[in-house]
Amino acid sequence: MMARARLFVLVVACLAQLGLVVRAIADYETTLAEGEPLRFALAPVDPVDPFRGRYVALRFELERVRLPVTPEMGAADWVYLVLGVGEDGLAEARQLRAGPPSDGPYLRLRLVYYDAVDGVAHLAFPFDRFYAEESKAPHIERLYGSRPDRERTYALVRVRGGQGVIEALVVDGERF
Amino acid sequence: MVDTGVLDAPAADRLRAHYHLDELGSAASRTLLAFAVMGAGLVGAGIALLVAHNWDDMSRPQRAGLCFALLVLAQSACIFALARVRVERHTGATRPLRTEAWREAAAVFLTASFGASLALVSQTYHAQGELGDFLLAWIVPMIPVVYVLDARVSAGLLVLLALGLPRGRDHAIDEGYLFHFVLASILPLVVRARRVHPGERRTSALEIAFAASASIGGALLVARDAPSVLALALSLAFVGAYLAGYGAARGVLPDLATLALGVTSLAFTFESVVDELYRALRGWGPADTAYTVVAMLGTALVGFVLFRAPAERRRDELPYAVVLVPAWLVFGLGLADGSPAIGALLFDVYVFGLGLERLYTGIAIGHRKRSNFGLLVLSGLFLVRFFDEELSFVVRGLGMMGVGAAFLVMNAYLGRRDMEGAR
Repeated sequence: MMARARLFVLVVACLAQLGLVVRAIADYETTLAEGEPLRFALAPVDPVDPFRGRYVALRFELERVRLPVTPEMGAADWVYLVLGVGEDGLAEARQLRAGPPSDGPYLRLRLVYYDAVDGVAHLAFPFDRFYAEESKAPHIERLYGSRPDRERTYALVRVRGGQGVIEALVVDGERF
Repeated sequence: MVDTGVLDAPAADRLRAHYHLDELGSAASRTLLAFAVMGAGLVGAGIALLVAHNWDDMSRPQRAGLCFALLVLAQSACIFALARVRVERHTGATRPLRTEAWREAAAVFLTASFGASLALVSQTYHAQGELGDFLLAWIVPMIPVVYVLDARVSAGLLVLLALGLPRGRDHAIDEGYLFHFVLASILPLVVRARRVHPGERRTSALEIAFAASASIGGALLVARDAPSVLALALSLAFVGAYLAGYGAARGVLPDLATLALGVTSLAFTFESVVDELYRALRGWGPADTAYTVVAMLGTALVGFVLFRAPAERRRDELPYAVVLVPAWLVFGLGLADGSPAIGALLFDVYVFGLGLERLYTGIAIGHRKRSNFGLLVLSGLFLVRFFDEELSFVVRGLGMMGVGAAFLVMNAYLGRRDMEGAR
């Protein structure tokens, strides 16, 4: 009896683990399949080491946005960045909200802090690295570190329900 | 013995079950098991390398499928280890086969595989997420597994992983308190292991991992939220670990706890360190109040344990528990805006007294470990004071000379006493 109860608990725990992994995969795949594609401009990086291990460390221009915050938004809180597309075809920040908007693409991000003097909100993006094939790594590093043209260097991100998943990295027009 | 009629078959089966000979077997079967585990490990490592070589050529669904397959394989190993039964040779009845080694190995495999699956999914979709979320997603579903498999080594791994939860305030801070939840979840397993499997290596490993995680993780949380209480928190943590490990068959935990206590007490002999504590006191908040109350309760508990302990045990434990006196005095001095130099001096006095007491009683009763510890503490104290630039050369020089003279006098006294004893 005791042995069966243990087996039952183990099976339930295993199903929970599988459920977690499957749900994560399903969420990401659904976002990639159905999410709105937006181009996020990449901010310049220190050319000494844009590459750490097997991934490219990414920084986005939208990590610093000149948008007002409401009193209920504090440091380390979740906020919602409403997005649009600018004339240059790159994603732009339209509004910072404490709750999700009713329509349109948006990202759920952490507010690191708000600089009241400059009126700039500093945001933490959940996708800040791009894992690349080892054979292509030196080439990407060279391109990214050479401060390429802003409109030809961006992360193509699929956005859905506040979640963003990187589909591709485009550096100086070359897609990875 | 069955063949020669000394034992009948049912009695032999009962003896095998009582001493877990199905699992332990002979030295030959243990060797076989070791080779099997090594062989399986090497095959697994080889497969992992082949996969890594081809990883870049795999599509996203293929990678996701591999993560899934790895997890299912590890889970199957756990279910197999738990579900194995032994058929009674003469009655045909089945009973669960106690296979601690298989269960432990399967649990470790699952712990590693589950974490690897989560990490590989993040890598495949370039989704970093937050460390606290990743650790919680990894640890929490594993907790029931370590209980049903009685996997003490895996439980130790989980509490060590939980050390990643108390973090700074740059991102989420809530996971810091979920650290307590993880420890509380594993604590019943630790208690049960001590009661049912005292002295076993796996139990000792779990005890040490739990004590280390509770101390370090707790200290990280206190340093983050209420640094003013840090001296009290560290002292209580290590005294608690010492008291908890006292008398266990494998006494590694008390040794580690006393070593940690010595090191942290030495740290508080520096005026600059005490000054940092006093600065933190000026920013008093609700967290400081809460932690102070916890420290009071902890001190009361230590006092209670000492009060109830037999005299001999109390003689062993008291010198360590006395660290709470300078810890509370330093705390009180800070609240009263006292001098950090006096606070540091209080710990100097304590460390000196501890080292001297351990050295003296260790020599007196012939307890080499104790006398060595006393010598280590005193040497550490003299070394840090020698290089302590907060003290002038004159103070350091006079202090060293005074203590050296005291040692020489004590040596002479002990030598005369031994000579009189020999006569």
